[in-house]
Amino acid sequence: MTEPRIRIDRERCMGSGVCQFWAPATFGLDDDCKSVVVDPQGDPEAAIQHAVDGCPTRAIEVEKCNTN
Amino acid sequence: MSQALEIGINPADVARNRAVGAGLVNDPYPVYDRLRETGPVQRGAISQAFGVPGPEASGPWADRPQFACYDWATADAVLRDAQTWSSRWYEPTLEPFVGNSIIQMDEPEHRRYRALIQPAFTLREMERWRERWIEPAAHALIDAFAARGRAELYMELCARLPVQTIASSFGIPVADVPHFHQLTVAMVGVTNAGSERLQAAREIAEYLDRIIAERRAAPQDDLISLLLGVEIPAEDGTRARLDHDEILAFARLLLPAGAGTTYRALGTLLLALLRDPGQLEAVRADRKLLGPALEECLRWEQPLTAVSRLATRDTELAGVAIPEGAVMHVCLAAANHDPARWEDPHRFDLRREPRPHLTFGSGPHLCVGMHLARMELRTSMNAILDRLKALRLDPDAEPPIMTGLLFRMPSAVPVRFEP
Repeated sequence: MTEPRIRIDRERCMGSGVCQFWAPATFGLDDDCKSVVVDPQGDPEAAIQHAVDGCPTRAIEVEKCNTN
Repeated sequence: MSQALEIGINPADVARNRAVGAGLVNDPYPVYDRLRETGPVQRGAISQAFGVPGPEASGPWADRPQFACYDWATADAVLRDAQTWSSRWYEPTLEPFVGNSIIQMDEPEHRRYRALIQPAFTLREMERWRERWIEPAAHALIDAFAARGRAELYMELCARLPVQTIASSFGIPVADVPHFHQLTVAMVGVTNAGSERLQAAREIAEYLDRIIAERRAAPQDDLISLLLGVEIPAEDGTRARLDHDEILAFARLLLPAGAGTTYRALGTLLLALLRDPGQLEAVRADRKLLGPALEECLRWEQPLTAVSRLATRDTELAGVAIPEGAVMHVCLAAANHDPARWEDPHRFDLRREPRPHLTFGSGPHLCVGMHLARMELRTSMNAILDRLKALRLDPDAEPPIMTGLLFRMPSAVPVRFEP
């Protein structure tokens, strides 16, 4: 089974909310106005990829890891 | 031959629209295609390629080598690399009037200042904006013509709603908004006389100073109160409140930014749907289509078509040598029509799957108002679709056209509906 692991670089993140726009069930913003992962499978893969591509500071990384 | 179009809600707006190409350039896309096909980086400013006067090609940087890019990958790369491509390009034309605002700052200063207002413009905050300011404004504006059975939506709604929204968030009463609108447009119009721009800037400052004084005494839940209360960290870690000039600079940037762009985008969205009654009806019947329609329209015809940067060092872009100090014009509109990214890019098609575009820019200067813009577009369209039945372009009016170079806009949106 493949489960995506989403990492957000909080230093790079500028709180623009682009990720929330493209994948609203996956990403949120915390009280420091930084992106957080709410549910790594909240949205379809394509939407999460849009969030990754759209991030203005390239703060999001998605890794696929295998779990047995 | 393009007609001499007069488009605008006040004299400053008419002048601005003319200066940005309204009536001079109607369909830029074939020219963008030709430029893009020639290569990713071109010599010359964008308006030069069209043989029209352009605010971005004149002014203090006119003696520098000018370059422009017209494809997706190059445009996106330039905007993401704020180290190489400085936003100080905006300093001479804006700082004397607006003040030292985030639009002209580079990193790390830019990030520190932008972070102060970003929390007020998050997606989550947009519900409050909608409830407090956007929805009441939309319905009040529609109230004025709903019984008439016809309207010129571009002037009667589109030109008014965004400026009213941003002005309300600054505590400016609705009755004062038309005068404010004239002042903000006069202030940022780069082809206006410096003295006229300074006078407008000063009048705005005097007005805002009264509100600032009121909010100091009694803070409310609005932007001025936010700006009075925030503390900005300095590089050494100490924190301080914003000074008076810094608060004014934010206000004098956000007011015209909020007023000028969404206005045109809303007009464009209405025209796009009205020209295609099938798509309009589809959206009316299923409001889940509104999001994709809006996003596709932003890609297809965006209000602001280009931004500019200065090279901070000798560099190379797509194989072209760029000397330090050169100007790079980033044609967002051409990038949004890059066939390498979108099939049949000149067609407005709301059934296209949305994907990131460059209408709001990219990189650190990505438009801080983008969620607000989308909320205004969405809220206005819902109000219009709910209240104006049998909405159609007025068959007795001159058919509207899309026009403009640096800014894109409809010439008008004359409609009829059931009173």
